[in-house]
Amino acid sequence: MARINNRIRRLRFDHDEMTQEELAQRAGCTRQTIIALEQGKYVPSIELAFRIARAFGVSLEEVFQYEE
Amino acid sequence: MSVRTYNLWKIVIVIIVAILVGWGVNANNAFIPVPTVLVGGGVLLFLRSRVKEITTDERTFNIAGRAARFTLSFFVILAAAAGATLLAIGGGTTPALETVGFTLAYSICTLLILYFISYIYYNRKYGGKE
Repeated sequence: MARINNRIRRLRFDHDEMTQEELAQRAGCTRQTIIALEQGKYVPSIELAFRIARAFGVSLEEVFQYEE
Repeated sequence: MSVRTYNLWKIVIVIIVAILVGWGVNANNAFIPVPTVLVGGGVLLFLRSRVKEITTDERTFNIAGRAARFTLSFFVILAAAAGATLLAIGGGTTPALETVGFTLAYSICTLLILYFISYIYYNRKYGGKE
């Protein structure tokens, strides 16, 4: 089964322990969505995925990985 | 205003509106419940506009959509069964049961018509042709 993993927790740590609230504000979503993403319980839309990647200043593939 | 503060105010306002509506209904006075609900709704909308944090996003819309769909399916099945039963039991003999049965049946029809209209609208809005 295909699965989309993400490195949001790691990237937050690398960006001076950015808080979930701060990332949520930068990406334009709720903190609950960031929590759900980090727990792997929610797969974001393409738009939100790009906004999260942009919040970290990295490419989409550095945040999200598609695994089969 | 934070979401936490807004939620606290929301609870307070809902309690006040419920008390006033209950009091107005008991007093058989329609001039109390209607303005109370309108003012309460207005105050809630005003307070919500002052919340700076993001309270809804694609995930909450997704959840709301799934919950609405489940609720619709559940209600339609339950109301159809109840309506058919009431019409079968009370049809021609007990007008009260028949009335409730028809009310449920028409409610289902209205809901399904609204559902199909909104489905067609959103399907066209998001590029569907059928």
